[in-house]
Amino acid sequence: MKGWMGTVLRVDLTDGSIVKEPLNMDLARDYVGGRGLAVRMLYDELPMTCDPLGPENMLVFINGPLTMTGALSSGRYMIVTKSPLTGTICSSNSGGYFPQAFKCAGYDAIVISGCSNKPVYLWINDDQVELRDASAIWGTDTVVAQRAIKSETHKEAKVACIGPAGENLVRFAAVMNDDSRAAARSGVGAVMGSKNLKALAIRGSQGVRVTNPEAYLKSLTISNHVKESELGMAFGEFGTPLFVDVMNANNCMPTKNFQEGFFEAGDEINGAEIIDRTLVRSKSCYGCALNCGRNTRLPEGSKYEGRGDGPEYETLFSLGSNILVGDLEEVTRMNYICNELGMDTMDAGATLAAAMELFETDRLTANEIGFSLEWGDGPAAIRLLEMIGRGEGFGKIAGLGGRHLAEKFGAPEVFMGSKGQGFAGYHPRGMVGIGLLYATSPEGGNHTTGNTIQRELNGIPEPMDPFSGEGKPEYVIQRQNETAFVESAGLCVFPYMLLEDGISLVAEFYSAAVGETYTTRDIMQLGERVFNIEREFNRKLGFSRKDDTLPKRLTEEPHPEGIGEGNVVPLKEMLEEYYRLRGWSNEGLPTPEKLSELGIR
Amino acid sequence: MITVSIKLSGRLTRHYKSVNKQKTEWATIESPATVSDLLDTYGISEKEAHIIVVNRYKAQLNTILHQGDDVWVLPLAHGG
Amino acid sequence: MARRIQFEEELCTNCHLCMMYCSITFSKDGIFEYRPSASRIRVSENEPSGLYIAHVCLQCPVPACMDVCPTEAISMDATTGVVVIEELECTGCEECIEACEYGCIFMYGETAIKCEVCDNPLCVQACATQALQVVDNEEIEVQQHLYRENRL
Repeated sequence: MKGWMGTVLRVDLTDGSIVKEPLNMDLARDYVGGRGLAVRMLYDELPMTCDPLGPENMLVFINGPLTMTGALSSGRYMIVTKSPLTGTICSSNSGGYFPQAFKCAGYDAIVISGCSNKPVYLWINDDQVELRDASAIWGTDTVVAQRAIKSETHKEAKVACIGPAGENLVRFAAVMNDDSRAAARSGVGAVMGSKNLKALAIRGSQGVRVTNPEAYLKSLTISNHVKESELGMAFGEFGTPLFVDVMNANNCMPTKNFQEGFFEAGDEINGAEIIDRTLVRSKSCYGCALNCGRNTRLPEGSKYEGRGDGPEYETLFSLGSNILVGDLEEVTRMNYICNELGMDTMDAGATLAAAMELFETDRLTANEIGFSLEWGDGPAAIRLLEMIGRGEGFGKIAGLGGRHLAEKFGAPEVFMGSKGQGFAGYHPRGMVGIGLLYATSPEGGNHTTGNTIQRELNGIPEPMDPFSGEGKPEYVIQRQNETAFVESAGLCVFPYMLLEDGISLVAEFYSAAVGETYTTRDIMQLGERVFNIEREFNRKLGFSRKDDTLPKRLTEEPHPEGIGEGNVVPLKEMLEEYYRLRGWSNEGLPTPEKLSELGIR
Repeated sequence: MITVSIKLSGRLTRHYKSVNKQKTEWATIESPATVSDLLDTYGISEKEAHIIVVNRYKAQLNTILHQGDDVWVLPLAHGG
Repeated sequence: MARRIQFEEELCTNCHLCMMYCSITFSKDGIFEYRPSASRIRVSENEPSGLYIAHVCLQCPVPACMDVCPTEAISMDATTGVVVIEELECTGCEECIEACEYGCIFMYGETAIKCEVCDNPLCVQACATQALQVVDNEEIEVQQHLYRENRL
């Protein structure tokens, strides 16, 4: 079967051993690749009770069978590990150019175990693999580190690395590649840091084979169709920041730590402002026609300096509306700081928002932080972000994550997240399906595991009342299963969300790559299997219904004026139906019958 | 005649009448008028107006406009 | 004048679709693969300008590469004016790569490769922003300048 490269690279950092082994094709057939295959490998191999930041934890870098094929937007890879932020299994994904180098070097997965006794980086030049000393670059930011490693290895090398945040074990540290692309969520960067692994540098010159070329030539037409559709054009022109307007208009833009859904200063940080003030050019990931990426700089005369990518919508929410900062220069500066120090802008924002609420309610004082931290104080937020990334002073405490911070200062309810991971920028009181998604995502407050926007807000293919729980469990399950497959195949979720029949296109691409016919139903079942193995994994770690929660701000405090006024998330009702439709017990655990139906052994 | 404020998002900003790029502008229209009438004067088709919000609440093409209303029209969009 | 592929740098988004699809065109022996290293067009990011540049042969009227080739593996098609490398005659000495001041010849394995302008080029079809076009080889000076400034 084509699509896969057929080789798994195993690197044990404790003894420095590097072993290549054939990909287990039975597992690949059952769990596809990417997120699914990596979770299954860890399910079989990881000592469940391990400390996420200890040498026993394993870190899997993995692409999918459709990565670097002609399937739309196929330039993705994932990092899968036990999360130090949530304690669950997690998958964090990223695009850019690193995934292409990774797959073209000839590997489906790189499994990293153990812990090095000194800083190292892994240099992979096709089949030549070595660990190199990284002492000289330890401590550098992600831009400097990528440049240094490129010059030490090869100009065509693509680098994924951690910054000071990962080294300092910030629980929401990211792994950055191709300048500003981030496998941001769940603290995968801290796991790298705990292993003394600064980076992976890869140069790949192999080819990726597919079975049926004609199907892919057709994708060129579809690619142009997507690009020229209304959604595709908007995406290319404004990127994700267009969503500032959309969420704000729908009263769904989380504001002031999710107290509100409308940000007065939204117009100051929206997609049009970015085009007017900071955009250098749009950019793409490898093999993607959408070019939703934004290459930006702070123009002359700004309060701050810097250049890089973004901010994306999620950052405009997390470090903008949610902490009441409506100054584009400040948000952009915060975005660059997170990229350079290597941390997730979303959990950085969730932590800052919790800290600001704790400060407002006098649970946390200027004495403890070192300065005051009022809502909307951009310069103070910038200062705190730097302290977090560099592990200085109060930053050390905040770097343990928003949930820890809120608990430590006696108000666990002010952390807006689930399972310890902060929510994304879609207010669940204004679209309750996303609340169910956040509560049931294997890694907590995550929007990428099955976003419900398309029906709840866009009404595509059919409208759904965003304020009612009716029909949401079924829809969330469908989206979760679809996305589990898309992320296992090594694709980006964006173009397939934009297409009404996205998942049948995925089935077509998959069939054409591997050379066997997969129907939409087959694809959905593979996705369901992936989602269930994740749940089963978490069950072994002690997670169940008790952890599928939302803060009471979302389930009890009514939504303020505007669209959805007075609404709350009917989590309990949705959850019960969700478990039933999933074929799980009332405790939210996959039943033996369900597992055997899905062929999970 | 009534005067309302109109705000356009995304690619719809091309329809603003004022030369200077603005975030909202004022529009004067013969009363009684609906959202649809207002969009007609801007050359925005019903298909393009995916989300209509008047005074921060959801509105429809046939929603009647009043003096001083804030109208916000958005195209179809998807984020992440 | 020869046909050639014209590149418009303002439109490029660095997506590399041209490279992916060029490599498919040259897949051999019925094996269909995406192999950017086999591509005859190469996209690179220029620092510090931040420009993305797709290097693709200009089909020079007086090709320096042809001149330096010790085995005469490089020739110009008499009717089309397209400059071609005869793969079997190429020894991989890389002298043509040195000689091309535009950075439009590349090594692939043991041989030098360059754009030889397909009839219906997939790179042009794949380009999402129409940054690539087939043109008759007029006005190559602008492109020459761009490539000289941004040599790989």
